[in-house]
Formats: sequence, structure tokens, C-alpha cells
Amino acid sequence: MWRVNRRADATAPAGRAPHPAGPDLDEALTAALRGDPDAFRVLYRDTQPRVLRYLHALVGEDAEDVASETWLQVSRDLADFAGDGDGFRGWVVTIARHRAIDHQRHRGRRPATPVPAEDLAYLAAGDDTAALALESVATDAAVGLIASLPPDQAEAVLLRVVVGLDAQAAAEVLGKRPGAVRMAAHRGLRALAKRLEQSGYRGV
Amino acid sequence: MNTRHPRRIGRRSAEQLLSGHGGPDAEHDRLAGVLAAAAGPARDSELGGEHAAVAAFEAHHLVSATTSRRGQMIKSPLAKLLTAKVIAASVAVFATGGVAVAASTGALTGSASGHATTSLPPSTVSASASISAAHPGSHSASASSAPSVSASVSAPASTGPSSPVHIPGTAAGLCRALAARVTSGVSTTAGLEKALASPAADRLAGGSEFASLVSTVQGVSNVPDYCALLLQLPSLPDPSGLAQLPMSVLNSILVQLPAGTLAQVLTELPGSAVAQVLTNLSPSALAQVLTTLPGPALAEVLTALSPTALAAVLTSLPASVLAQVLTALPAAGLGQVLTALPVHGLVVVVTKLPVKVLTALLAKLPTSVATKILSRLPVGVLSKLPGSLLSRLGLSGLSGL
Repeated sequence: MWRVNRRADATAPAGRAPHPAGPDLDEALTAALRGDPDAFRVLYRDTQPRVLRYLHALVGEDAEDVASETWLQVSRDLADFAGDGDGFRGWVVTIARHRAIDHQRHRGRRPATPVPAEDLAYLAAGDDTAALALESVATDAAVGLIASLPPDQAEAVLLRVVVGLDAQAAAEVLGKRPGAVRMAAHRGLRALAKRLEQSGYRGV
Repeated sequence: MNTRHPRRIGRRSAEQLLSGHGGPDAEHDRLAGVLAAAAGPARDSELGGEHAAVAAFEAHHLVSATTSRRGQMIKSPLAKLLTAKVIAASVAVFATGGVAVAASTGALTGSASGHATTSLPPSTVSASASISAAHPGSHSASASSAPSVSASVSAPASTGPSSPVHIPGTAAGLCRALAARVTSGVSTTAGLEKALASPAADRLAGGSEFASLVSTVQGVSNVPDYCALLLQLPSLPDPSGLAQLPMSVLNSILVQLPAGTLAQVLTELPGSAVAQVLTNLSPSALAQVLTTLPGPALAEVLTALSPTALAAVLTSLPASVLAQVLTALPAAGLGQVLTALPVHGLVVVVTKLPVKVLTALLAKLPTSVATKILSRLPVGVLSKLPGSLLSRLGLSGLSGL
């Protein structure tokens, strides 16, 4: 079953993943394991958007289909899960990843996810960075931009930034060593920065 | 405010950005903004599956029967809703019947709540049909060409109070029902594969409700493979038994498989079974199967054949299909196939192919391989090939003969 490993890895700077699962999620998990559907709803609302955005990089437009299948399995197997809120996110996203791989096997290749030029220009050119985070359109454009990276980089960045896993947990989902996942994520960030720079440059 | 010339991101700043500590004032503010946007708040549009997920959770929790207090909450309307949602979800994924899930859920709900009539709302049936037809991976013809079965089947009493469970009239639906009988609630590809491969599937397929499946494939032991093909599962329960299925069934079912699934099914077969299947398919089905397979899988399938079977398969193809098939092969596979082909087969292939295609094919091969293949041809055949081709391969001395 999902091995729970919550220690941030030693070489990372102090600090946790951007959206650490708080006590609320832990509590919801405990209640859901007792069979409380409202608690399960809390888990769903926390984790589904993360999973959906992650799946976007793996299966493109079929993300919603694969997410539905993922939740059917989660609801079926939850009784076997042991761990905390962070562990739950990692567990769900692992299931999602397996479903996505199955899905690709049926469908042939991973769909290419080109970023529309206007999305990129929009992300690169805005003036108010803080406001960007609150715009719904920006979320889709940003996820699309990350999804257009080479697969290993896209997955690593999304697992860290969107799903909210630390390097160790992301590595467990991907079945790779934390160092390799960290490297892929860093490369992904550099590639993103480069694209933003190239597309947003307007002279000084 | 915007950093117009961001410096290369070092390991430390990368790690800060990834952990959400690169704020708007940080050096890489634009990138931090994009990452924050990607991790932005949930939108309603992302939570459309909430109802289905919670309903499925309730159903599973209920059937685990650890608490009885929720028992009375599951009444018919919820059961129906659940049924509809689960079907919608599984139909979206599998694009086939998807109703056995409903059948099993209905039966389980019945046993737990003590009263059960789970019938499929008509709206759900039409919804699933339209989704199936619109699904790009599925063939809209599948519903009509799949052997149809009687529309209503009684559920056995074993899983609860005997109540009629309506199974729609597709063989795929019956197959899902069979898998669900082996493992209740099964819906994933891996789960279906496992259920159909279980010895219990053979045994349960003998039940009267699956009689139509058995008669279609002429034997209980053929049902699991048939079901795996209908449900487009990549792994067959009994690959070597595939050739036992009636050819009429294989003719219609293999051509409906998506390329990836077809490739996996055929490459997993033992060589003798591949030969038996390919040499007995109707010409049109054979042509469609071979032209659907991606190049690498095609090479794997063809090289698994005995020389005799390979010759039988290739020489039976019309010229255009033959050209398409050989062109699709990767160079290594093409060399292997042409080398393995007995002389009589090679003669037919070479004379059937348009010269242009033959020249292009041979150009893909290393000269030594191409030369070796052509030198097996009788002089009479070789002499009809264009001199340019022969001279390129160092066989120019033959062209004058």
C-alpha cells in the first residue's frame, strides 16, 4: 500500500510543499475512513482539481474521463488506505497515473499539448503577477503551458507545484529517485522561464 | 516590476519556486505567478464529478457493511442515481456497454438494504449509447455488428433477493456482467482482465444468462477471450485459445479493435495461433488488421509466423494492401520478413509490387541485405526489374540476362 513518508528531504530548503495538507484534510480523511460521505466530499474537493490538472499533462482532453475512473477506484479502495492527508494526495495521484497509463495504452500515444500563442503571451505579458494567481483563465493557461513541457518535466513540476507533494513523495509517485525528479522539475522551471521571457519580452 | 532579464534559475531558487516560496517580489516573479496560477483555487468546472464520486463512496462503504446506520439512506432513487453515475463514468472510459457495473451495484445495493429493484432509467441507456457513438476511439458500427442478445436477463439469487436486473442487449454488456459476477464492482481494465482470466469466469459463463455468448463463440471456454476482445482489453485471458473462436466472430471483432489494443493482442499470441488466425481471416478483415497495426507490432506479428504461413498471408493480399503493409514495416522488420519469405512467396511479392514501391522498400534496407534477398529470385524475375535498381545493388551484371 502507499508508503507514508512525510519528511521533507534533507537537502531541500526549509519549508514545505506549497499546499501542505493541513489538519482539516487529516481530519476529513479520518472521518471518511469511518464512512462519512461529507468528509469524503471534502477530500474530493481538495484533491480532484489537483489530480485533474496533473492528468491534463498525461492525457490532455481525456483528463476528466480518467479522473472519474480514478475516483471510482479511490472510493472502492479507500478502506485499504493508511496515511495522512498528504499521503492521501500521493495515493490518489498514483492511482490517477496508473489509470492514465492504461488509457494511453488503449489510445496510442500521449497527446501533444501545444500552448496557444495567446495563452503564452497573456501569461508572459501581464503586469500584476499576484492577480494572475486568482484568475481562472490564468489557471488553465498555466497548466497548459506546464503540460507542454517534455513529459518528465511536466509531471515533476505539476506534482510539486499543483498536487503539492515534496520531492520525496513526487518521486514515489513516479517510481524514480528523488534526485532525478528534482532535476526534472528544475529543468522544467528553466524551460518555462525561457518561454515566458522569449514571449513576454517587450524591450525595457 | 517585471524582471525582463531573469537570471538563470539556480537550484536554490528552483526549489523555492517549487515549494511555493517564490513570491511576487522574488527574482523570477513572472514564473512564480504562472506557478501560482497553475495551483490556483478550485473551479466549479473541475468538480463536476463530485456527485458520482460521493455516491460511489457511499455504495462501497455500504456494501462493506461495517455500519448498518447508513443502510436506510440508500433507497431506490439513490441507487438509481448511483447506477446512472457509475455507468456514465465507465461508459466515458470504455465506450462500450458498461452496464454490468450497474448490474452488480444494483445487486449489492439490494442485498445490503434488503429491498431492491434496480432498473436502468431509459434516459441513461440513451445517454450511454450516444456517448459511445461519439467516442472517438470506438467504432459506431460496433453496436449493430456485435451479436445482439435478448434484452433482459434475470440476476441470480446468490447476491441478494432475487430481483430482475435489466441488462441491455449487447454482448459487451453481458461480458461486463460476467466479469462483475467473478469480481463484484470491477470496472478497471486490469480488474476486468483479471476477472475474465480467473477460472471462475469459465465456470460462470456456463450459467444460463450467458447462453447467448456461449452459442456465439461455440463453447464456454471461448467466452473469456471473446469478452476480452469485446471489451477491448489488451491482454487476453487465454491467448493461445484465440484461434478456437469461430472465424466469423474474429472477422468482425478484430477489425473493430483500436490499433494499440489490436497490436497488444496479436503480439501476445504464440506464433502458431497468429498463423491460424491470420491465414483464416477473410481477405478484407486480414487487410484491415494488417494495415491497422503500427509498424513495429506488424513486424513482430509477421516475423512470428512460420515461412509457409508468412508466404500464405502476404501472397493473399491485393497489391495495394501489400505495398501499404510492407511500407509500414521498420527497416529491420522488413529485412527479416523478406529474408524469411520462401522463394515462391518472394516472387509473388516482388512481381505484385509496383516498381516504385519495390525500389523504395529496398532502399530502406542495407545494401547487403537487399542484395541477398534479390539474389534468391530466379533470373527470369530479376531480369524484369529495372536496371537502375539492380545496378544500385551491385547486381547490374544480371540485368542484361
